[in-house]
Amino acid sequence: MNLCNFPIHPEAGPQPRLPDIQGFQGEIVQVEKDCIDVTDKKFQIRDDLSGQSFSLASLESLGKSIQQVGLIRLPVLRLSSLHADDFQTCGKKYTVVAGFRRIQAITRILGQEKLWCKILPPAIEPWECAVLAVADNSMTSSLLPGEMIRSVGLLSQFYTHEQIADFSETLLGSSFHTSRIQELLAVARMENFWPALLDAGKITLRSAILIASWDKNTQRNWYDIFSRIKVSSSKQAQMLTAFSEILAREKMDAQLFFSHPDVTQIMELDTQDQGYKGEMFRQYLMTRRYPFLETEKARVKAHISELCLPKEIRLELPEHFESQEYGISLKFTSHAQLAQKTDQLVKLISHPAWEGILSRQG
Amino acid sequence: MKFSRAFMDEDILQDEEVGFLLDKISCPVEIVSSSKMVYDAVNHANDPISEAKKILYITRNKGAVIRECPGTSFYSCCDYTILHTGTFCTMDCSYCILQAYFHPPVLQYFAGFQQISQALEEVFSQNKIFRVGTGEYTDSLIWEPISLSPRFLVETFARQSNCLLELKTKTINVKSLLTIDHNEKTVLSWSVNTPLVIREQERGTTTLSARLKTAKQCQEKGFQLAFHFDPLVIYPGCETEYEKVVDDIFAHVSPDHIVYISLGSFRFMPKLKGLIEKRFPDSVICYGEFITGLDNKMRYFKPLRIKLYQTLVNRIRAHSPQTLVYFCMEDQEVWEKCMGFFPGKPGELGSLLDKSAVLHCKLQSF
Repeated sequence: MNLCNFPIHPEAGPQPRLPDIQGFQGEIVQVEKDCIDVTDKKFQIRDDLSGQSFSLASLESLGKSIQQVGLIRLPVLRLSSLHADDFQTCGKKYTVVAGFRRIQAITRILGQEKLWCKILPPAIEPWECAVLAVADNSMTSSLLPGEMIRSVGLLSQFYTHEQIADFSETLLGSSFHTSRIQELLAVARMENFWPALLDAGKITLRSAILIASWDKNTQRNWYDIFSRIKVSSSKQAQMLTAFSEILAREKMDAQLFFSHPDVTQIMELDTQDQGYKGEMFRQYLMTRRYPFLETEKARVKAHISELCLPKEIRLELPEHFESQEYGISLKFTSHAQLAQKTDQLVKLISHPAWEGILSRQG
Repeated sequence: MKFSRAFMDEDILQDEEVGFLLDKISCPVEIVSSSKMVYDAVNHANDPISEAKKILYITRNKGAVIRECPGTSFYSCCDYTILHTGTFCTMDCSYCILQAYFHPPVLQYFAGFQQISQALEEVFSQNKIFRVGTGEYTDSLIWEPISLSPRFLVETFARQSNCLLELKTKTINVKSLLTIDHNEKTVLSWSVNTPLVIREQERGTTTLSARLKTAKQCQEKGFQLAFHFDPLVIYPGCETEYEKVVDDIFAHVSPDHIVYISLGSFRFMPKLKGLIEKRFPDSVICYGEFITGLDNKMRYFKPLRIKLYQTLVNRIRAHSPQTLVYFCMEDQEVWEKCMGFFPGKPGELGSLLDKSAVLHCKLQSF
C-alpha cells in the first residue's frame, strides 16, 4: 500500500471533526487527460494491482456503461499547485482525489483526450481530500477489505485512531473500536501487496491482522503462500494458529519452518488447483501440530476405506476419539432401499476392517 | 505475603480473627461501604489478574459457605465438598483456572468464624462421611501466615468424627498447625508436579523438594497426607520426570499416611488459552495436543493421557499397592485401561474415597 506521501501519524489529528463534504462545490471543467497526474495515488482507495478491480474487463465494462448512460459521478481533482515541485517535474496539473477507475475507463477504453471533472478549490486541505476520497468509495458500495485498509491508512495521516473510530460508521460504513483501527493500520503497514490479496478474496481481514503481528520475513512468506493457495476463512484461521503453535512447540524459527523440504515441496506442487494445494498444506500443518491425533485419524480412515461403504451409509466416529460412541447413519428413499441397505450393512459387520476401526490406542 | 492495598467492609467486626489479620498485613486498610471500590481498583489496572494478587479484600461470604464440587456427567466426579473461605491466590500459576473463573478475580478473605461454624455444624450432625476442602477457589494455606483460619478449621474438625478436612496447597505454610491437636481429622495435601513444570509454570510457589520436606514434617506430627498430580503436563520426557516425583514422595513419607493420590491431566476452558498467552508469553503449556472434551474443556488427546496415567499408576503401585489412586474427571475407558476397573455408579468413587478417609482419619463408619 502506498502510504509514503504522508507519514502515518497516529498522534496527529488536528481535525476534530469530519469536513462537510456536501459543501465542496468545486468547479466543473473539461480537462485534458495529459494534465491529470494518474501516477500520484496518495488518495487512491481502490486497488489497481489486484487484477480484479482494475482489470481490463472491469475497465471495459465501466467504459461501456459510461458510453451508454454517461458519466454520472465526475472524477474529482485538485490542483497540484500545492506541490509546485512535483508540477514542475512531471508537467501535470491535477492530482486525482477520486475517480481513478473512471479516468482510466474514459481515456484508455473510450480513447477520449478530454474529460469532464470536478476541480476542488485550491484552498482545500489534504485532510479534506482524504475524507472525500474515502467517502467517494464507501458511499457507493461497501468497502472491500483492502479498500478498508487503504481508507484507514489514508485517514490515519490526519486523524487519531480514536477520531477514526468515532466516525467509522459514518465514513467507513462499519462501526469500529479504536483497537480495531489499530489492527487495520498494522495491516496497512505491511508491504503494499496485502490489500490486493484481501480484495482478491484470497485472505480474510482476520488472517491479515494476525499475520501483521509477525515479523516482515514471516509476512512475506505467508504472502507467498496465500498467493499460491485457496482455502476457506475458517481453514485460514486454523492454519495460522497451527503455524504459530508449531513454532512455539518446536521452539523453531519461522524461516526454518518455511524452508523445510515438506513445505517447499507442497508449494512447488505442479498443479493449478490452488484449493488442492491449500488442503495439502493445511493437512501438513495439522499433522505437524497434532501428530498423534492426525496419525490416528489417518489410520482409522484407512480401515474405513477398506469397508467400501456405499454412499448412503455413513460411519460417524467419536469426535477426536474422546468418547467411545460410534454411529452409523443410513439414507434411503423407499422401504425396498432400506431393506437393501440394511442387508448390505449386516453383511459388512463381519468385515475384518472393523477391528482396526474400533481398536483404540492406549 | 505483601499487599499493595487492603480493603475491608465497614460492617466487619474487629474481633480476634480480624485483629490478627490486620496486625499481620503491612499496608493500611481502607474501609469501604461496598465492593465497588475494590473491583474498580482491580479493573483499572493494566493487568487486573496480577493486580488482584496484591489487593486484599476482607469481606463476608455472602453466598453458600458449603458447596458441592461442580462435576460433569461425562467424567467421574469424587463428590467432594467445598468449604468456601476465600477466593483467588497470591501465587501465579500459568494454568490456574481462577484467572478466568472470576470476573474480575479478587483476593477475598471471608471473615466470620461463627458463620463457618454454623455451616459446619449442619454437616457434622449428619450420618454421612464428608470430605471437605478449602482449596477449590483459593490455596488453603496461603492464608496461614496472616490468618487464624487454618488453625481454627483444624481445631474445629478435630472435635467431630464424620468429616475429613483437606487443606490443599503449594506452599509450606504449616508452622501454626504443627502444634495443634488435630485428632487426625485433617489431611494436609500438596499439589505436586515435576521440577520443570513448577519452575516454568508455577510462579511464586515452593519447590517440590520443599513441599515434600514439609509433608514429612507434617507426617511426623501425625497429620494424614494426600498428593494431587494435577495438572499433569505432557512434554518430551515427562514420564520419567513424573516417575521421579512419585519416587520422591515415597522417599519422604510413608504410604500409611497417604489417604489418597489423585491424577488429573491439564484441562482448561478455551478462554483460558488467551489469558495464558497474554500473561505467560513464554509458556507453551496450552500448545499440547489438546482436543475438545465432552465437557467442552480442552483436554489432551486421550491415548496420550492414558499413557501418562499408566506410567504413574504403575509407579505408585510399585511403591504402595494399597494406596488409593483416583482420577479427577476421567471416563470409563481411562479408568479401565489404567486401573482395571471403573467406579461408574453414582457415588461409587466418592464411596471409595470415603472408605480411605474412614481408615486413615479414624472417622465414624456409616
